[in-house]
Amino acid sequence: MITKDEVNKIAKLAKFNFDEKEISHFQTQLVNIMSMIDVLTQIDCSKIEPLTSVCNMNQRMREDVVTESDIRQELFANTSGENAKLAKEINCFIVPKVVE
Amino acid sequence: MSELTKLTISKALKALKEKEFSCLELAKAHIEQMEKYKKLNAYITETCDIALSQAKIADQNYSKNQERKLEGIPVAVKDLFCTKGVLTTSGSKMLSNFVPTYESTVSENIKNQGTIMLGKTNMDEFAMGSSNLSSYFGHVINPWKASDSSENLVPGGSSGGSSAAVSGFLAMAALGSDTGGSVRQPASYTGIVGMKPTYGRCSRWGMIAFASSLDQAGILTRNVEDAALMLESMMGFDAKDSTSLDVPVPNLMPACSKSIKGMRIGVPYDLMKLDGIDGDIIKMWQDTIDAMKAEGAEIIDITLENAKYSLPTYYVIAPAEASSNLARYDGIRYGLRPEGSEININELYELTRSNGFGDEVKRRIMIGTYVLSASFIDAYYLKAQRMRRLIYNDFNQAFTKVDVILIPTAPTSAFAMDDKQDDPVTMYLNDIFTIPASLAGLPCISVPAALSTNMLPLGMQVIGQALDEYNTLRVGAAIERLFSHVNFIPRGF
Repeated sequence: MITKDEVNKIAKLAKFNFDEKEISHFQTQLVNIMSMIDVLTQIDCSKIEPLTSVCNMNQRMREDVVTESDIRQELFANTSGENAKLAKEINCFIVPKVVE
Repeated sequence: MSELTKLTISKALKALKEKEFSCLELAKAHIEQMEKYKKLNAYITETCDIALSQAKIADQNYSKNQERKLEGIPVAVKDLFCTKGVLTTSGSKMLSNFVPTYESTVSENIKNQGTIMLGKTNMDEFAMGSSNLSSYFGHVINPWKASDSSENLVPGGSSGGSSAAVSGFLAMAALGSDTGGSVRQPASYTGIVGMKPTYGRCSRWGMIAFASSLDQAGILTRNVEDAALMLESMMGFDAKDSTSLDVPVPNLMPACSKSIKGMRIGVPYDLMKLDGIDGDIIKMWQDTIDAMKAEGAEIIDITLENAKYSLPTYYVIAPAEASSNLARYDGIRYGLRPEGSEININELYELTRSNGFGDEVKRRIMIGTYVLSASFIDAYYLKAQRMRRLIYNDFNQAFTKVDVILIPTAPTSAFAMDDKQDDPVTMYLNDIFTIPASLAGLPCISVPAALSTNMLPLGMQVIGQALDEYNTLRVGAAIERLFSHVNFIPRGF
């Protein structure tokens, strides 16, 4: 059974900021969902190779040629928030200070 | 309503070529219908100006006898296909301001064949849902109503805007995407055709990701032939998607008129005993089996032993992939970004994600993060991938004996908007018949085959072998012919 502490830990890993009410809400729902999923733990398929994809996942190689030229303006076209205008002017993504 | 909106794509193309009406008239007829049925909330963004200017170009192409394969056909595009210069939200507040600077391969492919874009259709947020109730842009209303109730019904999901648009004659076809049934289940709920080709047939480039090993573009139309016609243009190898299949696109139209005499049709009779399947669904299934026998098909009892574990398998794999894919929404480069200069980088991430995602998306990210966390990855994620292989093997085994598999699309007809909202697990049960083919990456089609006792449409599903869209459509078209006496137009439309 998933505890509130575990829900808090998962929320932190997933970068969510939940209040007490939300933590309770997700705890109830996660418990229900995981009880539906838990049937899997009762089946022994340890000798079966996991199936990651139905496709052949071999990477295709190609010649090292330029396919897209200068798309700098496009890359910054969707910046938003109060610094969006500045970001577009200086062609940099603006983030809060990370290093003290 | 203008009769123009009721035409099939094939008939519309023939009439446009013979100048019975113009592309502009056809586009305007659809725009009028969109205006009339705005209350369905099928579109997040209407692109009428684009449609009208594309229609004028299409008319010029016809007058120069230079028309392309789908010249002048008005279509809708699910709002998770990136469309250059047109808002693309994936049904989320997170992307409510996102205007892509590039076009998805699939929407580009059909545009290159002359389709006209009427708008971007509503959907469950990030394609997570079976009801369209999780869209940030409001619920979509199913054009159908039960004969014994005036309640609004859900159009299915996640391609619910696309299904409502096609069913209500607001578009001749609509692009959808199918991760665990998001094209087939809404098609079943609205009395139309929905097809997902083999995983890898349609490029995923520019399609906003939910669960990458399962996501596949699909099409919603009002008949099987239109689905074949659209798919021929949508599919094809794309170097920009590493899972795109480098195989030739088959000619699918001839499949729609070919007899099913002598075909081997597999029926997993053991799945009829699953809990929660409506009596109407079982009756449709049995009636379809009988009708196919009468057509000269051979019905073969097959077992998909592990199909009963599809739901828990899917609800580990899809959320796991989603939690990884949706990690990109951090507020830095695009999408929602909270205001306030006094916050640190972690607060920026948390504020962005807590405000930008809705409840269902948060729930799935939480499940995904949990099953991928160090203590549980073996017990859940790797276990689910092992189970996925067993389900995949079951299909391979069945296809040594049969050409296609016949099962219903959904366990019930469309439900009322107020039902099932509180319990996610009950909601997830809607996907019980669509998920197995998704896990195995197989082509599958939903075709309307019956009306329920309270006069709502029900869909039968045909699952084909990998890359065998031809026989999948062939059997789908046979179902359509066998039940052509049933009226699948919503009352009042």
